[in-house]
Amino acid sequence: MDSMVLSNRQIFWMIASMQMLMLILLTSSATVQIAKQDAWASSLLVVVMGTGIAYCCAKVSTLYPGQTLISFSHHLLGKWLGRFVSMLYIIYWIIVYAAILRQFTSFIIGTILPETPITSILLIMSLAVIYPAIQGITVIGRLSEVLGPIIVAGVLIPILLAVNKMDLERLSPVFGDNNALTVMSAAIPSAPFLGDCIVLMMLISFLKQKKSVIRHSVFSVLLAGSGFVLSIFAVLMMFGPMVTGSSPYPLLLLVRSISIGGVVENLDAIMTAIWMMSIYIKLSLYLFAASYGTAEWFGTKKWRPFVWWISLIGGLIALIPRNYVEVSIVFPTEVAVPYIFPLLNVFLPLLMLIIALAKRKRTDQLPYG
Amino acid sequence: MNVPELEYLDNPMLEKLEQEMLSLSIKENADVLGQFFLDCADLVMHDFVVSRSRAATVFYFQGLTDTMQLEMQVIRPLTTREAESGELDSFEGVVISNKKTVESYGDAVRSILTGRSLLLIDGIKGGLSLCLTKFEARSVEEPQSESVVRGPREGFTETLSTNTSLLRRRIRSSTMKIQSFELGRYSKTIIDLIYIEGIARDEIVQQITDRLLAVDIDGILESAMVEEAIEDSTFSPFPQIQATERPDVAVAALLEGRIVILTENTPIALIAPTTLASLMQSPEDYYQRFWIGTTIRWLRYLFFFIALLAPSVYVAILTFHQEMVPTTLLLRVAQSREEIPFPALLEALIMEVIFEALREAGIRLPKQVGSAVSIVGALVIGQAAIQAGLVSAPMVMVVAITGISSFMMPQYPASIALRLLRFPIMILSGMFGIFGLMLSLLLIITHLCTLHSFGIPYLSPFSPLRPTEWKDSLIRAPIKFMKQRPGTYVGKNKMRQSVYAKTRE
Repeated sequence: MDSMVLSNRQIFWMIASMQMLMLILLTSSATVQIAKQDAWASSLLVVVMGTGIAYCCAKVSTLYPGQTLISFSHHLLGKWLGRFVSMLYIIYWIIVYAAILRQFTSFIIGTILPETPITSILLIMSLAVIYPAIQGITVIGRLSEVLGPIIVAGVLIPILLAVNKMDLERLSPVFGDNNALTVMSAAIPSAPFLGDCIVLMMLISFLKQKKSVIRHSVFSVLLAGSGFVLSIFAVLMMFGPMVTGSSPYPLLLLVRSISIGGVVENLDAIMTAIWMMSIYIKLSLYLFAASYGTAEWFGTKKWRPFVWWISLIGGLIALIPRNYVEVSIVFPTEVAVPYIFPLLNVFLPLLMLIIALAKRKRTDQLPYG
Repeated sequence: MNVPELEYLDNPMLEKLEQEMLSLSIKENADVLGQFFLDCADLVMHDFVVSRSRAATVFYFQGLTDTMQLEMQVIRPLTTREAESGELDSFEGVVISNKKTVESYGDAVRSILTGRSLLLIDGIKGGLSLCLTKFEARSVEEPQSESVVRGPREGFTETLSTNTSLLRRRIRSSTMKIQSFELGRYSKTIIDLIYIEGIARDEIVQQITDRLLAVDIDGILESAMVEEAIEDSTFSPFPQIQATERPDVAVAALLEGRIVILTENTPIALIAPTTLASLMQSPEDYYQRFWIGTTIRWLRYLFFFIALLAPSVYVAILTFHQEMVPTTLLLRVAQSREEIPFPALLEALIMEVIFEALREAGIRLPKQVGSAVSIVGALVIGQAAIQAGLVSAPMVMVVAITGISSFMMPQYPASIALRLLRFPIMILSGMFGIFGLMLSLLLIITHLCTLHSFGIPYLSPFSPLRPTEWKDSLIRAPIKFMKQRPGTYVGKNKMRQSVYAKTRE
């Protein structure tokens, strides 16, 4: 049980399923608000950025096979800086865990359970994700392999069903109202959501086969990204930029408007279900990454007790924000975009890749071990 | 591991005697065996004289031996045998094919206990154990719990030798190996481990052997006890070993590289390793045309979810998400629920519990009373309950559909898991709506992902993904196209068949 292994396919579905829905539901609105009908271009830009980050992370990890971020950061950045950087990442995972937990709780309360107290949903959800996290990465991998295709289908099928209501006219004028800078700046709020594929630096060390790791990692982000692009196109063509920008969850709006023969209507509960799958995978993955990372940081192999502690800490942090706005708008714009994204998602992976490549060139000997 | 011999705890002397060799004197032998079988009223000790010169005794248990054959083939030839020199010191003249000599008292005692007859002759070292076993047994009948429209009507019986013969008749190859184990301190039940060499994976055979050898238990009454002793996760509601009464199912499993475990005194054979997909297969899928096989399989998958979720979805929608239902339908349901005094969750719980009680009562009671129970039950959870205004009509329908769908599972143990899990899901969906429903579903899927059966992931071939094996899990492809054995279980010998003869010009 303690030999945890993953396959390429599992990593693929893990990243794709956890990113796609988060991106679509939480960032479409912000992107459209800034870039209006050209939001699809910004979303394409996000995909490019995301795949770039995924490439960096996967490349670094393949240079240090069998090692997680915690151990190879020592090699790359020196003992103390490496420890500091890996601690930053662990804290980042805990905070993101808490933020997603809270965002999800707010979503559930806002959409389907308006009278349930926040703490009860928070408690149940965090208890539920402990189960896969404590079972280890293999179980999370299998889980995403089962749920991943369902999640992707859950995004694509509603979009296909709504095709008859779409109108290409609503996309025009193309690049008429916005300049390149606006389009680019619109990509920024959603970039952190594709940037969280840095968790790859933990996952790749569990891989059984080292072949075509990079391809699978990049394609997983590409799949998640194309789902995002597609959904932006769909909501724009259906509602136009004004309606889309003013609704917190545009895709949910699209799903709600689907009607098949007047019998199947209001499918948004299905959307909620699909989103739950994605959140469940993401939360358990982050909980695992943070716990395993912390255990490794303290130099112990017994990571399972840490799951309980991290879950407790994350749960408490999730209680801090006072309302939906603080966690879904203030946190991303004030913390995630200006600090976390450039430093942890872009700069450090890139830096580590450059150092790793430089070291490799100098010694011409892979630092196995 | 050194297991203390607890069988003779009250009489340590016997334990010592077990190791000793049989003596030349028949009197001494009879004395010692008499000590072992003190107060065993069903033991028969028959003394007679061989060749009119030597004393001999035959031991056997009443009702376990073919006395007719014993007398005709053993006692008569020996008594009438002419005493010639040299012949006296051997067991010559006993014309029984299945015989073996025993040396120690322990072996002698054990051979008598297994139903064999023990022959001792004065002056000859050792004894002769003869297989003249014959006892009352049920004949081969149609299996009760897995009936098919088309397919063989033979089922396993309680007799182990009959069961192995049923398998041998279907696989006439020396590569079908049968390993025998003895389990149970007192019951000494014979367990046969059957596999096809080359098709079965060696490490799985080894794993099962190891686990069987580690079992130390009083007695084995049914294969379920073997199952529980060797399965991977004891606390899971899902069966990790398949059980079957049908020799053809067992043979199909053998040909897939799985391993069959036969237990003495029960008609239920075990098949390991097992995956969830294999629990959804019925032998008839393969005996009918593949179209209907595939369709029925899909229907089964659909009803798997209905059996698990129908009441919970109903409760969740009625309690929290009325907007999901079209207005006219919602109005009808609301109308019928108008006078119901209970919330939907309580209504569903009551109905499901009553249904489970009725089902259990119907199974356990004698057949004559059983029909009475079903008549009363139909009234209780049917018309009367609706007319009394205690339960709404749609709820009765939901419960009925759930009940029927759990009967659709081709294997009984799989439906038990569904029956059990229904209740926690119902309670969670009554409390949290779709959120609770999804959460419990996710937890169940996670649990299925953690399960293994002898090293084989339980959700295979869906996770880990093996699309080539979907030919026999998602659909039932024509047998022509299933050229390879399922890679989940199989060992070295992977190809199932070569190319078929061309059937079309």
